[in-house]
Amino acid sequence: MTENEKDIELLQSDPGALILKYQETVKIIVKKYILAGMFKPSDFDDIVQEVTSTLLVKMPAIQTQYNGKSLFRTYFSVIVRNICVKEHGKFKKEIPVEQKDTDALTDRGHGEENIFIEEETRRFRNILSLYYRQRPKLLLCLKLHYRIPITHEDVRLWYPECSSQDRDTLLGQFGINFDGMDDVEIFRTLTPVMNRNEGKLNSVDAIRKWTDSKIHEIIELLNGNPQRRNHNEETLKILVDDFFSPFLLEK
Amino acid sequence: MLGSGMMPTHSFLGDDAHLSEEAIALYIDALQANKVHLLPGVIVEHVEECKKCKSEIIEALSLVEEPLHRPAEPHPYLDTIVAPASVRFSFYYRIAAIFLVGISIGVIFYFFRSVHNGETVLSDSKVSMQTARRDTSKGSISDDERIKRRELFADNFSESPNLENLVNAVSRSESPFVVSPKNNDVVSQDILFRWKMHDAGLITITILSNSENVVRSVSLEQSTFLFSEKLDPGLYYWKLERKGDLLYVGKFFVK
Repeated sequence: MTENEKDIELLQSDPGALILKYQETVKIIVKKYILAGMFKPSDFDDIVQEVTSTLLVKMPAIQTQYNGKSLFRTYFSVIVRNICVKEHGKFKKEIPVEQKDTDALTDRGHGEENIFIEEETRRFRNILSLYYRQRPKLLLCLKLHYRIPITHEDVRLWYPECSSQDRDTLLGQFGINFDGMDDVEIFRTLTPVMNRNEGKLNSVDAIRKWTDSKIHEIIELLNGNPQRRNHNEETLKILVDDFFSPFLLEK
Repeated sequence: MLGSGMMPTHSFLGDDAHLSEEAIALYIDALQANKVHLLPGVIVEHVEECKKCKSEIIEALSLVEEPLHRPAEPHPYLDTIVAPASVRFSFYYRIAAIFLVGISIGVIFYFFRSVHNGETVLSDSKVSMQTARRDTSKGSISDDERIKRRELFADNFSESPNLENLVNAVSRSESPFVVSPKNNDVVSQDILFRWKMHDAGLITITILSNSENVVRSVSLEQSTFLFSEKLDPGLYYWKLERKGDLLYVGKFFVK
C-alpha cells in the first residue's frame, strides 16, 4: 500500500490519527508563516492548536470533498495554508516588507542574499510555469519589454512554423541591440508577425496592454499575498535576465 | 497535449467558480512532477486566465517545495494518464525488463551456489554468532543494577491509587464524551486529546504522571488539545475540569 493509500484509509477510518501523522507538516507551515511575519513567534503553540482544532471541525467536509486525484499530503498542505491565512486575520500582524529584501537582487555576492536570489528565481520560474499556453508569447514579450535580444532558437520555440520572412523580421529588428527602440515601435513591428503566427487580429495597443498587464501580474505574484516582498519592474528585469541567461556568472 | 480529464468539470471548480482546494493541490503535484500537460484542460485554462488561482498555487507551492523524505510512489491521477502512443511501447519494455531481471537473478543465484559450499557458510555463521555473544557480554551491567533499573522503569507504570479510583468514576450530567485517547490507549509522540461537551465554556485539561505530578495544565475554549512534548514511557492520567468541578478522568500509556 502506498503512503497516499494509507492516508486515504486513515482519512475515512481515523481522521484524528491522520491529523497526528501530519502534525509536522502543520508545524512546518506555521513556522514558515511566522518567519514570513504573519504571526508572532510567541503565538506558535496557539496557532498550531487552532489549526489542529479547525482541521478536526473541517474533517467531515474534507472526507467528502477529497476525491483522491491529488496526493493527500499536497491537499492537506493547501488546507492548512488556507486555515493559516484565515487565522492571520485573527492574530493580525503587520508584515514588515523591507526594501532591503529586494535590494538583495541588485547586490549579489553575500551568502544570505544568494539564498534569497535563489528563492526568488525559483518563485519566478514557478510563476512562468502557470502560463501554460501563453508562455511562448509571454517569454517573447518579456524579452522585448526588457530589450533582451532574441535568438534564432527563441523564434523556433515560440513559433515553430514561422515563415522565414517573419523570422528575418524578428531577428533583424530584435536580434541585436535595440535599446533605442521605444515600446510603440517594438509592438508595431511585432504585432503583425504575432497575428500571422497566432491567427489573430490584435491591435498594436492590445498586445502592448496585454504585455503590461502580464508584467504587473507577475510582479504581484512575486510580491505575494499576503505581501512578502517589494518587487518592481527593475527587480523583475534581473529575474528575467537570469532566466534567459542561465549561465550568467555571478559577481 | 493536455490530459483528457476523466473527472467532471465541476469537481475541479468550487462554488466560487475558482479552483477547488484539490484542484490546486493537483496543479502543484503536476508542477512538481513536470506533468502539467497531463492536467485536465479546464484546470490549465482557468489558471492561465485567473490571477487569484495563480496566487493560490504559488503560495501553496512555496509550502510544499521542501523535498519530502519519502520514496517516490505513483501519483493517483497523473501516473494513470498515459499518451496512447506510448502504451504499447512501455508494455514491451516492461516485459523485457521482467525477463532481464529474472535472468539476472538466476545467474547470480547459480554463481553463488557454485562458489560457496554449505559448510563454509555454516562455519562462518557460527564464528559470527560467537563473536557477537562475546561483544554483548563486554561492558554489561551487574545483575543488581539491572534489577534496579527494571524496578524504576516498572514504577512508571504503576497505578496511582487516588487517580485510578476516579477513572470512569466521575458521572455528571455535563460529563464530556471522550473521543481520544480512550482509557488504556497506548500513545506515542503528539497526543491529541478530543472530547465533546453539551455546552461550551472554558475547560481546564490537566495531564499528570502516575505519581500525580502535573505535567501540563491548560484552560481552553475548544474541545481539542494537542500535546506535543516528549513524555517518558509510563502511565499517565488526564482530567477535565470546569470552574473547579471535575468532569472526567482518563488514563493512557506512553510507550
